[in-house]
Amino acid sequence: MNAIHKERRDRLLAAMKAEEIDVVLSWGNAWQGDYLRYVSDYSVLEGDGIAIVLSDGETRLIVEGETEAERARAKCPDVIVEATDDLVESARAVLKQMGNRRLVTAPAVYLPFGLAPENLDRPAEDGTAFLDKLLMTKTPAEIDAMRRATKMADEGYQVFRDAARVGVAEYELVAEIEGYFRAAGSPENFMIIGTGGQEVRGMHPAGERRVQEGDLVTTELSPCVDGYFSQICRTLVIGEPRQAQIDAFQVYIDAMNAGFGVLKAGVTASEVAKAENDVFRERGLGEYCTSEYTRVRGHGLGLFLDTKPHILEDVDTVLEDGAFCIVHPNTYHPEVGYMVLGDAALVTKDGYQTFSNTPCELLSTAG
Amino acid sequence: MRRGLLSWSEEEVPRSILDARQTKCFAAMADNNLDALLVYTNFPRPSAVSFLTNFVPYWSQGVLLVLPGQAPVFTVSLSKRVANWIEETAHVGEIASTPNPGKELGARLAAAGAKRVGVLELNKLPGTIIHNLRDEMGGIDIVDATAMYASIRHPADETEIMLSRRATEIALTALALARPGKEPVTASILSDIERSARMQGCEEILIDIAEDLCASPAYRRLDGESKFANRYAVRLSVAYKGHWVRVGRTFEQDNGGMDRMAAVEAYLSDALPTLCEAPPDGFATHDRVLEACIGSAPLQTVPGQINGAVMNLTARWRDEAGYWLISEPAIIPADGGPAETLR
Repeated sequence: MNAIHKERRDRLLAAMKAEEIDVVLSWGNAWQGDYLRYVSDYSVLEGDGIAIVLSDGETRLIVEGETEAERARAKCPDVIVEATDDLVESARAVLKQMGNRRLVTAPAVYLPFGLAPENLDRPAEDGTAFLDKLLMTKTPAEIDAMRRATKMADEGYQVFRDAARVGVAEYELVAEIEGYFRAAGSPENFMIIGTGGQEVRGMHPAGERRVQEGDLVTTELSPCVDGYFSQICRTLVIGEPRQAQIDAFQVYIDAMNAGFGVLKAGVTASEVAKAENDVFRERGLGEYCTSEYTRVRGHGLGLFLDTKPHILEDVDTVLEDGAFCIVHPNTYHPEVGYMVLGDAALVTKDGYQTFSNTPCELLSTAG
Repeated sequence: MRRGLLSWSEEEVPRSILDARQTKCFAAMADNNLDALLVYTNFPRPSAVSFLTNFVPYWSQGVLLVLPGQAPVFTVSLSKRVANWIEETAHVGEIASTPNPGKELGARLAAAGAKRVGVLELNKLPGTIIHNLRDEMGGIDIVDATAMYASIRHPADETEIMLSRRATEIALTALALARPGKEPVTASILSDIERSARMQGCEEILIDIAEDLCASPAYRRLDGESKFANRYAVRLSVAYKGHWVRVGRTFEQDNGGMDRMAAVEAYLSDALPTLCEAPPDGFATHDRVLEACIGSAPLQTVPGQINGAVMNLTARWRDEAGYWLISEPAIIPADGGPAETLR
């Protein structure tokens, strides 16, 4: 067992003991894998997976198909791995052996219907909040992994910046970045992109469009180290930036700084979002902070790259010392198109700490 | 979650093909007395919605609502700003962006007067979707429609075969970069493979390695750095426009390696029609796994040959030196005839 997972497991078992929980069942897949990874140290590549952890540390991992089970056995030699073609039935069979021990399950929002409390022949409680507490506050080893992931994101962005030239297709840009991250040892990355001008309303997966002179090229890169994701969002102008682009981008710089200006342990996600959005509202751009144009004003980072809390004005989750999140006031600007800017930060008692070295400015290929 | 090119080319995936698949679905729904069908999609479970609409998600989740004779409604938990991109890549009648797909589906099912609703892989659907649906529309009869969906999934049409061929071509080109000759450092070789596949327009590539087949026959996902031993294998799972194949080969760096690799290629040409039931000369069978797309997962293990399906074979053999691994896709004719290569 690696050191970072040993630390996680010790925290988990201590919390289970404190809460008198006997069994934790976590679900996950290659998209939303944090609850599963936290308890088992495994990130599923194909299909869904379920981990069942007992209070003595014994861990069972059920995955779909022998192809995935083989990967799991190689990665987690300390875990009992089972391949199945019926994930729900296999999990129910394991739970039957648990007798009347106290069971919690997570995450509630994605837990398979077949494992919902009404479909189990034994009591089960929602353990989402229990695991969220562990997921949201990072240990020193976790913070170190995220620091290294941020460094990798910086390096990846430099590769992106060098590759973004007139004539390159969006998917070819992605190929360069993914090739770089693979060489750097990142097993995962989440990346979306936008290219063009005022008509661009958001980022999306790579298409076949080719980059043109004057384009805004937006991206967010999210590599991971030891399972922990960091993220960077930047906007690049192909050629010399126009004054309108420079002026528009100042709003994003000011909004991100406003978000960081209030960020410290004890504030809510709502307060950070409001600080960012107020900058847009003060400049008559308030409607571009709504769901018509944007999703969130940042989010937590960790074993999932879009974890709790979402930085939104209606989210009252308190950011605690040791939380890790990105502040990104990404949205559409009516004069120039979609722009992004964001950095990941560790929340501390006195404020925050960022690890990125990529300049927080409108970047250009001209210099 | 390393999505590459995601787009809809109507030359490659004509609307008429998607219409034909949807019509086939309507017929099966009628045969099974279903007033509606719900098909879930998310990042690792894209294939059923992709089969019916071409859409492949890069994020979040969605549920396709199929009502008899109507263009499907796609309820999706992405914000409205992404609706344009979904419209560009999905053959659906309407996109309903909602943070609560269950509630939206309940309202639409109630409006349609649906009484009996089938759900693909019901037990695996996030429970919150079913709970919210039932809160919105009580008294509805919800049944599992996994077998029904599997019944319409095959035989593969020309579009599926053509796109699977393209995925195979991409994989073989990229896999050639794993041949011996370079410094056997895994990360740099895998980086070249990843870049090659994505430059060719692949949607996704998963890379597994077995770096020392004299020690272990197990594939694993590379997480960090390693070195290839004398005999090693690389397997690529490649998606192109929603169609997945697995292609894997064993490589040897010593002098006899080239001859052995050539001999296995020759054997593969001869033995693919039987999906390599018997091992090549000099080897004993260790195991053989067959996979196909029969539900929402791109590839899942199946007990045997499926007539009309694109099948993916992974075979492991043993000789005195260790293990030898191959993975190869093939198309099984609808009449159950010998498997045919996708190369």
